[in-house]
Amino acid sequence: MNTTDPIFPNYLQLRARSRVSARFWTWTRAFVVLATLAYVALLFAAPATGLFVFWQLTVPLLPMVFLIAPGLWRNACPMAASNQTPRLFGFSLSLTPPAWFREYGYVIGLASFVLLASSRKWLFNHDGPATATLMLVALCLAFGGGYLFKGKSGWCSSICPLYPVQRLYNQTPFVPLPNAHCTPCVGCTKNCYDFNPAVAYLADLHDDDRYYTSYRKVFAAIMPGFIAAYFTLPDPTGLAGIALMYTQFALYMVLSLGLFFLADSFLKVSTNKITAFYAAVAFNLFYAFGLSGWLRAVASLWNTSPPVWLSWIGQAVIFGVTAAWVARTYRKEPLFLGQLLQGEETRIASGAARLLRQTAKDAKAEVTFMPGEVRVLAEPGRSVLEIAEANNQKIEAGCRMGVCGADPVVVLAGMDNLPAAGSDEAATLERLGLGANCRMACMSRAKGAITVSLNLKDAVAPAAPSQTQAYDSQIKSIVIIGNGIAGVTAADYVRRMHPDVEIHLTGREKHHLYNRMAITRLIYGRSAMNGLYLHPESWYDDRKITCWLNTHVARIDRQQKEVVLATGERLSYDRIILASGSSSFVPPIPGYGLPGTYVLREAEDAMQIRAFAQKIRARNAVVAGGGLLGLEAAYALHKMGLDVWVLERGPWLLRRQLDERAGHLLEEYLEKMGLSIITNAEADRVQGDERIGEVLLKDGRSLPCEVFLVAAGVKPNIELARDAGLVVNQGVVVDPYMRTSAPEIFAAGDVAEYDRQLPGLWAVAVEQARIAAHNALGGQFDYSPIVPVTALKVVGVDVLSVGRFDAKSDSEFEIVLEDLDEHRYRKLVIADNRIVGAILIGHPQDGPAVTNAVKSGLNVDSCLNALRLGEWGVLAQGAAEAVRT
Amino acid sequence: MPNSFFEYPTQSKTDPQQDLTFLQQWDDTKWQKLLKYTEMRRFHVGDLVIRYGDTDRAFFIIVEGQIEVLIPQGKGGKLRRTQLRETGAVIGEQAFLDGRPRSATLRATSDGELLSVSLDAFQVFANHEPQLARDVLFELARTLSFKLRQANTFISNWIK
Repeated sequence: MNTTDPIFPNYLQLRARSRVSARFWTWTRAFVVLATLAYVALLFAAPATGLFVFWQLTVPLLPMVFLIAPGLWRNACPMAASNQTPRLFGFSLSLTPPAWFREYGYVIGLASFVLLASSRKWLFNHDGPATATLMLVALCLAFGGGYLFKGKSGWCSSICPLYPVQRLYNQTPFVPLPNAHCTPCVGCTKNCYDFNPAVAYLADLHDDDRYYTSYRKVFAAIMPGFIAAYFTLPDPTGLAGIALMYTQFALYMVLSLGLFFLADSFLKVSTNKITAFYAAVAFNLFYAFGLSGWLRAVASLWNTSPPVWLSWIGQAVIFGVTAAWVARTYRKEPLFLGQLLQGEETRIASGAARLLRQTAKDAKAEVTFMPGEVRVLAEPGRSVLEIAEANNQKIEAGCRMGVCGADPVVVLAGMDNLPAAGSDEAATLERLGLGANCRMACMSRAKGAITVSLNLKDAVAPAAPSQTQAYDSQIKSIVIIGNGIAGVTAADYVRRMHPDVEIHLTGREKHHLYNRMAITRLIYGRSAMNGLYLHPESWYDDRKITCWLNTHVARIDRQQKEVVLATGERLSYDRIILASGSSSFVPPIPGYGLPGTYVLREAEDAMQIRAFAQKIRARNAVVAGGGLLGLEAAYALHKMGLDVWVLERGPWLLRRQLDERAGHLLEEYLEKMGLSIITNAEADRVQGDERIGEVLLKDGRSLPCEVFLVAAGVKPNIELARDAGLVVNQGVVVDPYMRTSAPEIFAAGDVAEYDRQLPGLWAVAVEQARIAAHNALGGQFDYSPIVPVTALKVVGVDVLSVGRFDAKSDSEFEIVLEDLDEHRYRKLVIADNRIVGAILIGHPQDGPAVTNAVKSGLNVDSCLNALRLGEWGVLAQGAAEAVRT
Repeated sequence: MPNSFFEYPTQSKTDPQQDLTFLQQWDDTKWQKLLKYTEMRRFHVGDLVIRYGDTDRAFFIIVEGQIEVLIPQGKGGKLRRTQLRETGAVIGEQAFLDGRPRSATLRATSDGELLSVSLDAFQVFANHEPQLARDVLFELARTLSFKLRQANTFISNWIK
């Protein structure tokens, strides 16, 4: 398993990393046991030598071992070897120690340490056999403990007199060594040192059992006093002297304990910091008194004496080591506490876990997003865009119908698991210059596993060069007025077909073409124009398109064949493509124009709304207009945290896209979301002092309002055309070739009125611009109106409206299905057995098939029953068959 | 000790405490309703499921598998593990609720799946299923309250 090192690795993890073999420890132990027996023998046979070797040469080393590599002692200790012998040979009873033993084991160890170590002064330091006996007794007791009790609970981790010392000094080992005795770990002790070396002592100090903790504190507290007593008191003689000595020891320890209590009470630091400090003090005291003696003992082996400075250096080193040890001990405490605080996990119940596992198992499609390698198990039929958005992937969205080009992705694997691109999508990909491995995310609905990249660097170029046509070589310059989607699309196609013609592209706005369908994001989002541009700046340079941003066109001079800019500059033209778009329509509302009143058409509008709402800390907004833009704007303001009212003149929302029932369903959802919808309502006037403060409705109601946004529709920008003498109606009238009444001027997009229609849709603009571009260069393509498809882009409600949404005569009928539980609604309008329109709410996966069925006028005579039963999958099959036949 | 420092291999894993079971009262039908608004993600060993400092607002349920919680430590910011989270664990609820950057990196130590409940998805869920959404919020609040209580006790006992 590939895991990171834990901060506090436990025994199992240490073992996995350890390079010291079990066999090494077996031999070490055998050696140490033999050495101990040799000591014992020596102590009996030559007590003076034995005492010297044992007490003066060997024992002073132990604290250092405890501090640096406590695991070394835990593994090699002869008493531990004795203790583990019954277990090793399988005759240990392995009992769980009784409660009193578990409670007081440490105290027994503590007491015996104090007693035995202080007794060195009058007994063990001077008496070889006594020391030897002590060692033998310890070995036997350890053995007995191992025979009775499981693991190390009979000696090493309970009553061993050295255990408290180890415990105190082994809390932050420089070299952690896993205990090789514990195979396997039998969980014999609470807060086992061998199990989790770096945590054990901290865990002791943070134990819920106050007494348990106190025993440990007491030991740390008495240590400096004990060491001082040991080294400063004279060796006693006589019973009275011995008794006095024990009393003095006690007083030293009580003094030390009292200082500890004072420090613990008054210093604003954790107890752990004080115990570690005390441990370090005791340690330094021990060597301050004992190091020179040990050095002398070592040197005496060679009949020499050590230089004085050696002891000083040694003590400096020891001071450094303990300082480092204290620092390390302090440093780990917050980490320990942090982990401790994270505490218990929250889990779901096992039944729910089973259900979730099954759901994961049942998932058919898997979408992997690169470069982050985020893998999502998805319901077949969800679009890659929805999945990306729901999983926090960086992707832009616009029309959600494959038209605007905001969300291209590169399919790295699994293209077979996606349905083929439809005509809209293919046209968009072509417009974006993206090749065979690219798709629009909103139109990609995976059936199986696919891998997509959100980085277009992985895209291949289109396989075949774009089509070219013979062009009129007389045409040297084309001026395109308007740099919205119609204007830019026209420029693109002109350049594709004519490599040399001069292209001027003028735009009133300060921005290159951006994703107008996503501008509501500018209200609630924090990324401003980032990601909203549909082409990089280089796109225009590469195509030698001369852009005139932030530039107004004053007039068209048809005599001179020049477009006159408001700056005074003149652009001569052979052809004009007029794509000046439309502006927000504002009905006369008294008071409109006060600060705080807005329309929403351009990026600038949206950014101003955001800036204004922030500046005045707006809380209330009223949106006049319950159409697509009105609702999307209301949603944006709501997301920004405002209370939003939506005023709809008619009896239901989205009257151009939805029937009454669907409109009400949508209203219900939006109300739940937190919008307030008022239908059959109209703003009468707005008023306020320095800025807008309230909106008065025609029925007399008044709403508090700080941001008032009118979304009452658009009106085409026809002024230029009208002034130039072109035929205009509501828009600039064009023929099927997108030609205006002046043969050298074409129009496309929102400004163009063809067949009395002003659909104001992105897809229409793209198609008209393509036609206009071809024909401006001498082509003869005609435009056939496309079926309007609209989607509402409010999270959580998938509203799609295609074509007509009401049956209008007896030969037409509707299929309406409503699922109240699931908050879903769908409707087909059928005329002469062909689908001519549809409404979908909450059925995103049916969207593409229904759209195609409407566009192709699919004959559904044979599958009416299935459709009535709600099996709308037949539409996808039907469309496939229609393609085949 | 409310932690896994001393989960000895011999111990049977302690059963999750009753009062920390998330949405225990929910039956499958209710879970299924929530599942319609959530995302199921697959992860492979080594995948970074959450990155330290991320600002996504979502909480997660480990459907299957094991994930380690890593925090950057020391000057170099070397990642060190603090915990392992396993099947059934609910994680990341704090960033879901308060929107602050993620405080840890989560890395998969086995293959598995993860259920993600983003704030946006939750809002939609709440619009459609207000009662169930209330359940979820109460549970998240209860979880946090439990942890806060634990922390309070802990602090009053031990930190000066």
